[in-house]
Order: sequence, then C-alpha cells, then structure tokens
Amino acid sequence: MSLEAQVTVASRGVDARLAIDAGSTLALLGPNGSGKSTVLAAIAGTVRPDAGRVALDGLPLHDLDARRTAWTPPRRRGIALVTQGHDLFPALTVLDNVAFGVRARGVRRADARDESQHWLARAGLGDLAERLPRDLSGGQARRVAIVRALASQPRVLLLDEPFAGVDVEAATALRLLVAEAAADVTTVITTHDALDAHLLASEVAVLETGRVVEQGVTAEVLTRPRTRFAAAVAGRVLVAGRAAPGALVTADGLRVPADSSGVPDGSEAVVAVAPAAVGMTARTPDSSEPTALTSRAPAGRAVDTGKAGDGVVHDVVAALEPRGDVVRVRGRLLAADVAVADLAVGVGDAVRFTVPQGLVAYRP
Amino acid sequence: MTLVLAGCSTASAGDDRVLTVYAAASLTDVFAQLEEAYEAEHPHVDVVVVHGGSAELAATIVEGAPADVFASANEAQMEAVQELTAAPPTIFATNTLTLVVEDGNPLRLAGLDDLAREDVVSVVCAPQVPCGAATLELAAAEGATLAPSSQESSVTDVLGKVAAGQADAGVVYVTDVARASGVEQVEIDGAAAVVNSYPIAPMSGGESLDLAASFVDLVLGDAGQRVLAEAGFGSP
Amino acid sequence: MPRWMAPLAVLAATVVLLPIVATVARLDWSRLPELLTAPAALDALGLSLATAAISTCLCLMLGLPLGYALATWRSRFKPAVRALVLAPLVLPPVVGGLALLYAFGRRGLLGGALEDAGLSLAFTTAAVVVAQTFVAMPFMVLATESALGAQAGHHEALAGTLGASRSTTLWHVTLPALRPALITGTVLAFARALGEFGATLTFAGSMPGVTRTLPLEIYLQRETDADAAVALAVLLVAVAVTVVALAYRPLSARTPAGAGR
Repeated sequence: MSLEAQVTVASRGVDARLAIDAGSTLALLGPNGSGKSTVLAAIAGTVRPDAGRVALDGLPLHDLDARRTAWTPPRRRGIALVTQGHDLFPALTVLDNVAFGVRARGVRRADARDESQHWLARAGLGDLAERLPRDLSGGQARRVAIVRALASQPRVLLLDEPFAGVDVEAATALRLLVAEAAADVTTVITTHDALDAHLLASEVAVLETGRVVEQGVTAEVLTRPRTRFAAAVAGRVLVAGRAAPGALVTADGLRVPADSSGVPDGSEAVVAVAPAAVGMTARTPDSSEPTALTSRAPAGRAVDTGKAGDGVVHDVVAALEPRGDVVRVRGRLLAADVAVADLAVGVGDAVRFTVPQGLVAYRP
Repeated sequence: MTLVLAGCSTASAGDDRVLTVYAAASLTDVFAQLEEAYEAEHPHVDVVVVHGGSAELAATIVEGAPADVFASANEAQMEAVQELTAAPPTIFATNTLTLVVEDGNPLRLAGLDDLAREDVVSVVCAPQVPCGAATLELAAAEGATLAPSSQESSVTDVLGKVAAGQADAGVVYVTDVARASGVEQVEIDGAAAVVNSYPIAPMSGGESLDLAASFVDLVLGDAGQRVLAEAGFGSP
Repeated sequence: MPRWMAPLAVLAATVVLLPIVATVARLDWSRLPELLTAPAALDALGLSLATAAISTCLCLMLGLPLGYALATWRSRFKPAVRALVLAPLVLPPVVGGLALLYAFGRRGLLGGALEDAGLSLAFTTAAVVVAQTFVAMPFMVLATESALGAQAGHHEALAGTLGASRSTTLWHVTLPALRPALITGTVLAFARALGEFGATLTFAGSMPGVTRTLPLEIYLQRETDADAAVALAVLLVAVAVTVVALAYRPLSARTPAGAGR
C-alpha cells in the first residue's frame, strides 16, 4: 500500500508532504513539537486537517483541496494508529483489548478470542491476557497497543513515538515487536531519535516546525544531511564551504580534508561530521600557536575560534551534553564526543578539534 | 420548610423590649397592620411576627421556641401547646370555606356539587390538615361528593394550583382568595355551617407576659376586630 | 492529613450525623411496625420506589448523552451551558416546581401542546417522574462529564482507527469505561429522586397512590401524627442509605483516570 500525504493544520503550524512505498517503513524524524503527531492523526483521520490530501495506492482517503471535498472516516481507512498516550481501553482486559481489534474486522466473538490469544502469544504477552491495562507497565501497555493495532490487520500502521517514555529494559522487547510489525505492513513511525530511524526505517522524512525539509533513503539522509536542521536531528554537525581539490574550504579559510570528487571545484559543498569521530584536546587561548580568526565570529563576540591548520579547528566550548557514556562537547563550529573520564574542559574553555579522515563533500 | 419571617421591624436604639408573636400564615397581612398599631402605642417595644403553618408553629413552640403570643388558625393546634399557655385561649376571628376558581369562572361552577363534574379538575386540602377536615365536614353537611385530583397539604398549595391553572377549582378559606391574583370566589351554600375558629393566647415561655397580654387585648379590641373584618374574617 | 484537620472532620461528621441520630432517637419503637405497615405508608413507599426507579432510568438514558456531549463539546459557551444544566441543583425546591409548571403545566409553554396531544401531566404519576427527573438529572450529567474528563474521545478515536463502528465503540469502549461513573450517577440520582419533595408538591400535587410519594406523606403526617412522620422519615433515610452504601464508591477510586493509569 503506497501512501501519499499532504497535511495542513494551520493551528499547529503543520504543512507537511510525505510519501511512502508499499510495504516499506518511513521514519518521521523531528524534535518534540515539530508536528509529528498531528501528521499521523491527520493520516489516520482522527484529526481533520484544514487542507491537503491523503491517498492510499492512489485512491484518496480524503481530499480537502478538491472543489468537492472528500472525507473517509477513520473506521473505513484501514489505518491503525498507536499514540503516545494511554491507548488501551481501561475497562477491558488485555485479551479483550486485542479482541476488539480482531472483532472490528468482523470476526465472531469466540474466534476473536482465540485469535487474540495467538497474537499475544506471538508477541510474548500471553501471560498478560487477563490483566487490566492499569496493571501493566508502560512498555507492556505500548506492546499490547501495537499488537491490538496489528490484530486489526490495517493497511497502514502508524506508530507515534513508540519508544518514548519506556525504560531501557522494556524498550528491547518493544523494539523487537516494532521491527516485526514494520516488516509486515506499510508503517510510519515518528521518532526524535535518528538511531531508531536507522534501525527501523528504510526511508526517513525530517520534519522541521511542521514542514518536511528532507526525505529520502534513511542511510542517505542521515549520513549526508543537506540542511543544518536535518544534520542536527541526525546527530551530525554540518560544515559548509566550497569544494577544493581533496578538501572543503570554509568561508573562514578553514581547510577540511575530504573527498570532493563528486562536487565541481569552487561550488558550494558541505560535509557532515559525526562528533564521535572528532578528536578534542584542551588548549590555552593565548598560546603561540597560529592565531584563530575572530572576524567571522558572531557579532559583538570576539571569540577565539576558526582556522588552525588543515583538519584542526580552534573552538570554544559552548555547551556540554551528556549522552550515555560520553559527553558531547559542543563548540561553535564543531562538536566532539568525549569519554566522561577524559573530560577536562568546561563551558567557555578553549579547545582544539581534530576533523576525522575520510569525510565526503557533497552538494547541500 | 419555610418559616416566613415577616414584619420584623428594624430594631432602633429606643427599642429595649421585644415581643415575639407566632401567627398563622393566613394572618400575615392583618398582623402586619396590628404590629404597626401596637408599636405606635408602645414605642419602646419591637414586635417580631413569625408566620407559618399553625402545625409547624405549634411544633416549634413545643420544642421551646420563644413565643410570647400564639395566634393559631385552628383550635387543635392551640390544644397542642395547651400546657405552655399563660392564659386560656380566646377565639378572636372565624373563617369560612369558599370555592376558588379562575377569574370569570369559565366553567360556570356554582357550588361543591360541581366539583365532581367530569370536566372539572379540583383540588382540596388533605383530610389530615384543618382546612381539609373542614372541607370534608362541609361536603358531608351539604351531601356533596368530592372528586379531587389532589389533596394538598396546605391552603396555600390549593390556592397555588388554581392560580397556576393546574386545577380549575379548589376549596379554600374566604380570606385566602384575596391573596392570589387571577382567581375569584364562588360562595358555597351553607358554608356558614362549618366555621373555623382562630384562638389566640399569651405563652408562658416568653419573657414579656405583660406585653403579650396587651397585644392579645389589641387583637380582641375594636381596632383589631376592625382590621380582621376588613380582611374578610368573621367575628367570634 | 494535617493533624489540625481531624477535629474539623469530626465536627463535619457530627453536623451530618447528629440530626439523623436524633431522628432515630425520636422513634416510637412500640408503634413502629404498625406505623410502617399502614396502608398509606406502604402506598407512599411503593410509589416513591417506583417513580424514583423510572426517573433514574430516564436520567441514565438522557443524562449520559448530555454529559458525553458536554465533555466532548469544544465551545466557549460550554461553562455557561454546563452551569444552566446544573441549575436544578441550586433551585429552591418550590421554585423548581414553579419552573416545571411554567414549562409543562396546563398553562405552561408546552402545556397546551401536551394537552392537545392528550398528554395532560397535571396530577398524574408521570408528573412526579418529570419532577424527579428534573432534579436528579444533574447528578448523572456531572458524573458522566467528570469521568470522561480531558480524555474524552481519545479511546473512541482509536477504536475508529481499528475499524470499529461508532455503536460498537459505544458499547464496548465508552460504556465499560464509564461504568463506575454511571453507578455513582445512578445512585446519587436515585437518592435525589427518592427525596424529591418541593417540586413534586408544587408541580404534581398530592394524591394517595398517584402523586403522594413518601416525602409528601411524611410532610402531611407531621400535621397529625409526628411519630408516624418520624417513622416514615427513618424508613426513607434507611432506604437511601442502603442503596448508597451498596452501590456507591468515590469516583476517583475506580475511574480509569485514577491512580491505575
């Protein structure tokens, strides 16, 4: 089932277009508040957008742009939605929740219970069949909600931040289930985590304040983002400049060694740098080393950043972000992931970043 | 249950004594005038009149309410407070029953007999309350059959049903008809045979026995009787 | 609970319980069987239970949709509409009766139309039911609306995405989730209907076996036989307390909006 959607919800600043091939999985990637949930709700039909069109295999589910608007109610779309909220019907047991999804297909009550039991067993949730939703953990409830959605045998499955608010241990089982589900049915998953997109989706669409700024094959978009925003979402730092033989040269004159064979010399190019690959050492700002450029620093702030030689950048620490075992040291131009034990700098300290080898320059 | 507090004049600096009078609801207008007259004669006395159904008033007096004077709409309720009276009760007014109908008497009702007509919705007081007992007594004396749609617990409720148009006719006291708008009275033949008597007595529970006695005198005297007659009450 | 609140809680309990205890203390136990089995008392009790049951069913059938509509309705007029719907809670009983007269009385807004249709409510048992439904409805509306709360519509929307029809969703999702609130609303509505007095007196009248419910009988008995009134009052309280004790649980303890989620 290929899905095309153009969703406009003015009150939430959403104006997004996306498309997904039959049977594949699309990750809708964006930070909280970028409008991901609204896009899903509009596709499912639980929110009526102001304008736009959603079509499944070329047949419109709704078309609010046409002169005679068309609207298919959610129950006739065959699109199941799993939200971040409390999805399970509180008065029904786990089994009855799943059976609801089965019976909605027209299966008789007794058969629906048997089939639901089977669905739960497949997901390793058989033991929970007789529990009420309030007696489940957040991760368990999310899994049951996904199983229920699958049990309704939808043409498209929409999962809104399936891993949000679920603790790490529970997330393992959940990831497995989502991966299985996504393998079976055309799926859209929203997430703010590029890693999830990598693991689960063949395609990714990056959403910035309600607009899709990039869409493409996951590996392509995430390793070679074209916009600063997409790079940030993908956890990379984008360095812009012009292509030169064997390098990218920034406007400041900083030379970053990179394979620039794909871009004509002198034309605009970018490299995406993974902070994990960037080296960092502390530095004294008044050392006798080559002076940094200060002219291009943000207005009014004569800071000590910029060129220090090929592949070496002088920078000042702007922020420290904990990320698991490492701390992301964010400078004004670059960032580096540093092991917690090795961290010897604070905000405002001068540092020297070493750009990794093997970067590829490409058109922005 | 609403106790109608009426005629409570604002206590001024000169008032150093209070006279509390418990009076049946049907006496509201009359006692407002009597209160004024009494206070004119006794400038240092503030008369507080508490109105309510006689049974209700009697019950609160038995429970210890500080009444100086009790004016009841029937003798039974005066008997209920017998042990608390400071002097034997005296009948100060009488009242008789009448039909009350919509203004203009569209159904042309002429007497109790018409209340049993198929096209007439009538209401009366329940036999348990004095006006109901009196109504039954009158119907028996007249040989009339009643077919009420409702047996109300007070004259006010009977009057209200007729005034609101829910009922076409009701049996109430003569003095009640003046209290409602949009209704008029149809005299009942032989109504004089069933007379409801209003007794009054000073109460021993109060602290102003002398004032109570003089208030009772006012009610029984010419001035009081004149006001009562104007309101349609009969004299004993 | 802070310690200083304890005496206040005791005081509150006293304010409520003492009059009830005092009423029970007034009972003339030796006459009790005779008073409670008097035909007038049994008639009134039977009528009260029957009318209160019918009114409660009406409240359930009508109050549930209204509460649901209020919970899901998005409008700036909602607070005003809600306040008006709850007006019977604050209307003095007699005023409630007058209001019903103005609406359904023989000379009321709808009275003429009803009369023409051969549906005169005046002095009928149906009038008692109307009065009780009028005063008890807000309890059902409130219980439904507050149980749905901010989550209203969420589960119904999801049920839709699973392919379920609206009535399937109503029966299998909405109503089961509302069950605790409906029980609470039903019990409160029944208790309120059972105790209804003022509006019935003013609107329906008082005829033994037709419109004279237990509260009206108590009011009338008080005129002649205070012992009988007390006995019937205790009976009324006993019925209501039993119903509430059996069925009522505080909303928060059982609704899905509670701690379990």
